[in-house]
Amino acid sequence: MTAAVKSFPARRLSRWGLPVGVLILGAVLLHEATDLPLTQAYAGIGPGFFVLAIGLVLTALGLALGYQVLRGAIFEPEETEGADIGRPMSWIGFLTAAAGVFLPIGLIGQVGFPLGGAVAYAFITRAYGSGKPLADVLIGFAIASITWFAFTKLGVQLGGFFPPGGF
Amino acid sequence: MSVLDALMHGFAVALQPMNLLWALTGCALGTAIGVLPGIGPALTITLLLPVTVTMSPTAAFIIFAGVFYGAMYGGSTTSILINTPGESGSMITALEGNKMAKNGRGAAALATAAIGSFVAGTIGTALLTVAAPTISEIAFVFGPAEYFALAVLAFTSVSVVLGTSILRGLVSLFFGLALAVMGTDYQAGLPRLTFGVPELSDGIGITIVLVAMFAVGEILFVASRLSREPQKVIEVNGPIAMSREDWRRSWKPWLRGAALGFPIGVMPAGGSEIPTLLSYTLERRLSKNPEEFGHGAIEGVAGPEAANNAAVAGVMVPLLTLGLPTSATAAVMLAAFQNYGLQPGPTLFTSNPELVWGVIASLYIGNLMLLVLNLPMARIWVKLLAIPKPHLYAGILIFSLVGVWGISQSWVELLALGVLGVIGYGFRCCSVPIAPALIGLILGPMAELQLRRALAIGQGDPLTLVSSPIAAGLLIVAALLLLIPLIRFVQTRRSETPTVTAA
Repeated sequence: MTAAVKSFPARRLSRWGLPVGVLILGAVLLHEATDLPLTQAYAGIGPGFFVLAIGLVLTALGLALGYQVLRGAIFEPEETEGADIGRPMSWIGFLTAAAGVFLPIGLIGQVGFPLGGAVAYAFITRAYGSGKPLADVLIGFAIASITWFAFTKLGVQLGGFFPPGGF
Repeated sequence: MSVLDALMHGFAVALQPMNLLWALTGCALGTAIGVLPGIGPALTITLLLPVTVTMSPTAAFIIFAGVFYGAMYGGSTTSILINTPGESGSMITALEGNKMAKNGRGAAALATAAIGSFVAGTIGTALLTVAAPTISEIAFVFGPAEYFALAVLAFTSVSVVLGTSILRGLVSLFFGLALAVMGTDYQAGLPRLTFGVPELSDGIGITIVLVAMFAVGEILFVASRLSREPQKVIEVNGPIAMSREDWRRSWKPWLRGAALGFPIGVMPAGGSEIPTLLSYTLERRLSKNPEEFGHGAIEGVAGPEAANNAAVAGVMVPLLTLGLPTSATAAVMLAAFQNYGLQPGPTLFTSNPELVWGVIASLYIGNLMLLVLNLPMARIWVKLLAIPKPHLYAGILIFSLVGVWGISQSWVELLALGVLGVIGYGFRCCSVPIAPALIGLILGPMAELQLRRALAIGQGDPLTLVSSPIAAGLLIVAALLLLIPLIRFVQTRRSETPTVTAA
């Protein structure tokens, strides 16, 4: 495994992702804690206490993880149904799926849930190896529309069907 | 009111036609999601939350309980027929059950799993019926210090037990706690970690975190490492039944599994993984022919399957009596209680008896329904796996979007869904368990509130936290849970060569 890590600089770098991420989160909390009162008259502890404590622990955890990485630890991915963790990560698969997750943020409010959902649907099916984008958009539109009608009937507010058209 | 009276009242609620229908809905849904990959009971209940808002809490919890139990049944079917445990509690079943199916004994494996689940689930529910009122009586003496200690115990045990490494378990827990402090501080009214975004002043919704970490994280992860191997479902011929010999070999493991599963399920962070593993080890040791284990021993399916269903009943005990979730699914159910403005705990038994007892009674009924749904119909459920993966995962995303967009139609929440989903992806890449984050998120505010209350009562003296024997005892157990593995780790490090694996 060490040989494999050495031959992929990107992989060697990615091992630092977890400790660095934890340290950044810890720093954010510690920074926030400086603006909050730590104590409060009679209650002993104030709003800042928990933030400070969590920030300190996260920083300590980040340092401990960093130490593990320095000593050669590798954080292996988790066994997941349908995934082959022996394969290298596919950026195309990841980014296509991520597009399906992030595009609806702007779309749903503008064009309504069914159409925004259809776009998300088509990107996910593409990421999972489907080669029929047009059919997938149509299927996605049908499923999102049925979902929209069913949930609206059940009392869940999902906005207009197609706001630009005034529906 | 005696327990029996209360339970009879519960049956009167659960046997109402509408409630029977909800129980059936929950059981069918639970079995389906147990069979399907990528979606588990915790996520299903989360996605149901916006729909069930319009229902009565009793109806909603009858559905949730059905989903919780049903997922265990469905999970065992896929473990046996395609060697992919849908739920973590079914991992051991896959070991022996799949071997049995390959040897042409799939029908017997499915039968012992379903009947064993029914037997142990019913025993577990009976124990829950007896234990819950008693424990809720004890819980009346719990004050802020005890509740704080209980939360600390839940935190440490969840981080130590779940996942491969304590360090990463703690990372997950404290990530959840960090999310929990977001929003306006209830005492001083100060914004915390809101970064000036008004939408964050109410904190971050539990639904968003759950859907993001479970569904979106999984969708991204599987897409980035898509398995190209087609799934092979093993055909089962003939009726799903057991021979006399199978019955003889199964009944003791069922009972032993139930005996292990229930008490461990009751404990903080007991969950369903540990009892199934223990049951498997026990059955192998007690077996007259241990060489069969690993090649399809029926005891290795019967025991663990019984254990995981009894554990589910056990998990309901601390949830209903103390408001303490010990698994991800229980944490979501606690959030659901909070949505209804209900606080599980000792007072729930007196203030909402029809809810508590109705739900407990529906567990008995649900178990029976699940036996009927699963024993003759296992083959039909497996057909769900014919749904092409692209459409399955895309469908999960659509439902996730409904769950989040339905809350307040805000793009900020959709953005939070995406960002937390990427973090959930990162968790999976480094084997950081997700359940501790949820427990931290859901119990964090309770822990902080009770800590402040306890300190206010004790006029700021920290010793007040250990002044009662219960609180001190709980905190000592919590400390031991953290310290024992740490001491062991240091000891092995000293005695071994300095090669380091991720602890």
